[in-house]
Amino acid sequence: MRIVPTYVAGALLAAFGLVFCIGAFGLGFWTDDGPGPGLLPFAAGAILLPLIAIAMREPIPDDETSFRIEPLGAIILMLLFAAALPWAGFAPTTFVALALWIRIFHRQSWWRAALCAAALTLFGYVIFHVLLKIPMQMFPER
Amino acid sequence: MIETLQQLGQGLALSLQPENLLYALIGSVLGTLVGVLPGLGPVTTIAVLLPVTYHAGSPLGAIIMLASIYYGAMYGGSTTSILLKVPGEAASVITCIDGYQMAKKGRAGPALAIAAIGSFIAGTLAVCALVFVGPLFAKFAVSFGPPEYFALALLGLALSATLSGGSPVRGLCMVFVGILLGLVGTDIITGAERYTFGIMAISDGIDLVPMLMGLFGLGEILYNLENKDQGSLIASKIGRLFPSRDDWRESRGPIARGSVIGFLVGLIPGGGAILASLVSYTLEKKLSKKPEEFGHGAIAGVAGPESSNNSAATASFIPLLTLGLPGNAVTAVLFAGLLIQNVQPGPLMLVKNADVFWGVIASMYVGNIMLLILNLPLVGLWIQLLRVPEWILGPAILLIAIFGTYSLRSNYIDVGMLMIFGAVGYLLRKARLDAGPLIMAFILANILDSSLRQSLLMGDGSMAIIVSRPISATILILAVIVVVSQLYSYVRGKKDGIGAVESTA
Repeated sequence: MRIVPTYVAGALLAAFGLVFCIGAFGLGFWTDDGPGPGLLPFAAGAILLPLIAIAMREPIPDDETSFRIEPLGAIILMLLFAAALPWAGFAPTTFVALALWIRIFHRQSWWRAALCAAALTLFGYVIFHVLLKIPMQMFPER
Repeated sequence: MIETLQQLGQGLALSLQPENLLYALIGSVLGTLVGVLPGLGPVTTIAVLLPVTYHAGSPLGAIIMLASIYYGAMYGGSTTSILLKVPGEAASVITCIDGYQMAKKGRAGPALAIAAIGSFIAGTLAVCALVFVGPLFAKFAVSFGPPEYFALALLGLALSATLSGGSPVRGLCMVFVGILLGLVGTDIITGAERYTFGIMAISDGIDLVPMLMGLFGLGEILYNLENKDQGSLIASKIGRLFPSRDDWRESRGPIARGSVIGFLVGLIPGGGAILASLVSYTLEKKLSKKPEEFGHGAIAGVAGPESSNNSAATASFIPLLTLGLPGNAVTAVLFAGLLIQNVQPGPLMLVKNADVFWGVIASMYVGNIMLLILNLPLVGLWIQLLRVPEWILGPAILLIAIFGTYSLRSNYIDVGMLMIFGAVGYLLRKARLDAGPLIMAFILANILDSSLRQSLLMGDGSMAIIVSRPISATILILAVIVVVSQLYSYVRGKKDGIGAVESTA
């Protein structure tokens, strides 16, 4: 089944607009001092919804292909990386994430993936931690 | 006038200090390096390299580096357009038409040289104009009140939504999404927390840098994962570099006209380099004695658009520096770069940060000259970069994005935001939704919100104050004309069977 990205984006953006519209009621449209903090979010959300409906009615070109597995897998890998980063440190997480990225999404051999990931991690360490002196937790805290 | 020239002289002296020259050199090299990579235009390049500039010694050094990255990326984009028919950035699409045909005929050298020299001349002329127009704009803008700012922000958003190419309805959708995202955080007027859901890290609003790097940098990498099997790129031979006497004769007029067109178009918020190069190409084709050569390697088809897009790029600094309103996605990223350095663009920048203001303008000269001296002879080297396999380049950019995002605030949440916005960037790209208007709206959201509410306060709750003041009323009418005319063409196009699909292609 072809999942049309326009429809997925439309549904998510509509939900996003709706959250802002509903949230605006809690913020208030008007206060004793004048316009409230909910005024513009409500107006913007309320205009967004019909606009999305119109955009959804545009014909979908054939070259708007369905989602492919590689980017979706890469997004999951990156989210796992972001979750592991605070406790595992930059060096191991970056090395593992890049090695998996090169191996899975670029179909390179394991040794090539490991070598490239190690070189890039070292490059990042030298540039940002050593040269630019950014305080970075490189390894897990003991 | 004399005072202006004196200040420019001081800016030039500052930008010629060895330290700042080094930043210009690093910026030019980095910008070109990333700019020649297919699919990575100036916005992505600056967004990815933005954190690096944070560590420059001074605000001026950082801004000089940013401006050099910008020019480097623009130059890199033209190089791949001419040699590979792969526009490194949207404004170079027009250059592909005749530039690549010239390269196929073994005239890549003159095409590259004319693109670089035309860009240099146009950039220099535009900087000269900017020196005089910029302060006038700033003086004029000092008298602006909330209604004028509201109308200006609205005009900027209307133009960015409708002129960025593609369906205006989709552009408007992105504008409203950007406004909503920009409103997240503490309300500056009442102090109320808006849509933070108790997350402390976003109580000051969503940070622009992870958002930019995610939407443009990571989003692009994810999108390219789908298209990595599209075959290898084969670079043409560059051949003789310098243009012949005939080439010069045919390029003189287009360069001069392109410079003027670019400057005027660049002043319009949302206009930008793409529109400028398109207008220039159309005009040159109409004026040419040999219009049939266009599309088959006419050097005027390279000289005009390349000069025009460079001039527009320079002119787009005027609304940014003097009004504090970014005119396009690139200047929106530069806006973020200035804010990171605690420099607030706007009418008061000339008073509060005069050294940075004039330093930026002077650095444009320096950046242009450096690119001309450095990059033209090294064009072969840049092309070699395309031989670096994608399985190394993609992860390398990913690494710079991650480490760079973290380095700004040493905050893991920012890395998480980068990933989330990367996924959003990929989705938007797949759905043919342009993230440019979203970024512009994100930046303008707070100006829009505060100026709207202050205007309503001034007018005792009535919007009449905006339409009753001559400047705000004029700007507002312009905004309405832009939106209505674009929507009218859209509806008419659909009725005529052209449809939105073709218009977005």
